[in-house]
Amino acid sequence: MLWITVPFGAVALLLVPLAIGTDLALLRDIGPGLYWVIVMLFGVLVAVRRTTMDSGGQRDLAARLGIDPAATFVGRVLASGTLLLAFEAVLGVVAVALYDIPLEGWPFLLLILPLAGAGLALLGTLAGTVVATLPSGTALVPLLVAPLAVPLLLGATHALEGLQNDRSILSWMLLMVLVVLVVAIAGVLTARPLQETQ
Amino acid sequence: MSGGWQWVAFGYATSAVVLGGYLWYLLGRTAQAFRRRRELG
Amino acid sequence: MTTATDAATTEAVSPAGKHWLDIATPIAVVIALGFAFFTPPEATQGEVARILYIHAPAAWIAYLAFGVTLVASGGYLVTKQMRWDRLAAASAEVGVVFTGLTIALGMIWAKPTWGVWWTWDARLTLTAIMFFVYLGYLSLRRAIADPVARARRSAVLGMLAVVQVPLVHFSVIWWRGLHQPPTVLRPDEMQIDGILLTAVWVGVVAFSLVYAALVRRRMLLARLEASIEQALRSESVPVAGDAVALPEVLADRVEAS
Repeated sequence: MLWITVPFGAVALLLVPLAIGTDLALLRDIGPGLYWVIVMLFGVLVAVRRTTMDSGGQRDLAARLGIDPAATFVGRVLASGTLLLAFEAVLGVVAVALYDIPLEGWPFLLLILPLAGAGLALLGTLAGTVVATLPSGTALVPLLVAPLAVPLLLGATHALEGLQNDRSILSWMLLMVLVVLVVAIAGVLTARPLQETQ
Repeated sequence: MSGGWQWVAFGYATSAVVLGGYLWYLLGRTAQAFRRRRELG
Repeated sequence: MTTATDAATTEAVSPAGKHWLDIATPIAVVIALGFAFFTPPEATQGEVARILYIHAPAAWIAYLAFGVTLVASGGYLVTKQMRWDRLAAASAEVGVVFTGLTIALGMIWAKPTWGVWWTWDARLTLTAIMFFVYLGYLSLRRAIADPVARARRSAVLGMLAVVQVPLVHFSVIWWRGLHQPPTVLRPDEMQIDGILLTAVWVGVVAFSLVYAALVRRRMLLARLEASIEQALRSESVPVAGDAVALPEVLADRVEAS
């Protein structure tokens, strides 16, 4: 899946300046925000593919073995989260290159990227489970996730902005942590009801 | 504010069309469904 | 396939008879229109402010419908009764209509007032986000054929929205608080009081009745369609009694022998 979404995200990053202009100051301005929008919209597909790839037979087997659906959920989130981190990292390199994004305070990226990735993995996995086995499921997921990912988007973008302008990023980080906690709880609580529909 | 009433008319017309349209759609579908239900006995 | 355990669909569904809502709603709407058009024009905005007499109530209903959808989703997950699912879906459908209307009216009001269609203020942006949450919910329902799976999955989405939307709300307001536009585009800060405020409240009451009336009809439609589906399903399942047609044949053979 990464072999498709990473190039797709990179192409998207390439297309934008073709459309809006290559003024370096403008690109530096919009770069971080655009990077996160692309990560949120395209990255969620990375999380989804894992859940829709599970066949009905695998799910039945898991249910029969008495595997806790919440544990399955957590496992899927961890797997998706790892993939998303790789996705973010590679696209980050592309964005820095194309948009000349300064790397001040880069150690904090080691916190921001995983947090955002975790939130997106949680949202994507939960949405993926909701649409599992539906023919148009994969297409639905970005629509379902995008509006709910707004706090994540705002948190990640403003954390990056704060790094560049030497402002406090603590509150934005806490916002992302809150998103992760809230969606994790929702995912665990709804894991069993969801399993019963499959 | 010049043309104020035009915008007001635009707003109220939009509301009438949207709400009235939805009600009309609902009533139409309900009538259709009721006919179908009666067919099925 | 799962069967819908739903007592309501087994009864014969008759067309919606006269309900007090069907009478009270048009009356309330006429009264509200009267207020909207016969109140004095607003001090700074003039006639254009009359749009707010429908924009504000529509926004209130948009949020109310959203809340009802979320509560009803929880209700379904807890009780497993289809009635709750029907309420959630009906409120979502009516809600998306009112939300779209709110946004349209907001734009129609903003253009003559501020010169732009969209002001990116927190309330407007949140309403737009809510519109897309609604659309996602309705799209999901449209994609699921089985009624029980549809109820359960959309209820889960509803629950996700319940927990996530406050965060969305909070983060957007916070974001807007930091990025004050240079010219103060604050559509909500107006001197609306006295008779003008009454006009808004009358509008709220009228629209609440419209919402209730529409949701009621939408739920009736859902019940009708559920009973149709159940009737179709029981028709396609072969009835065991069909195989028992022997007695006449046996009787003939007995007579013959």
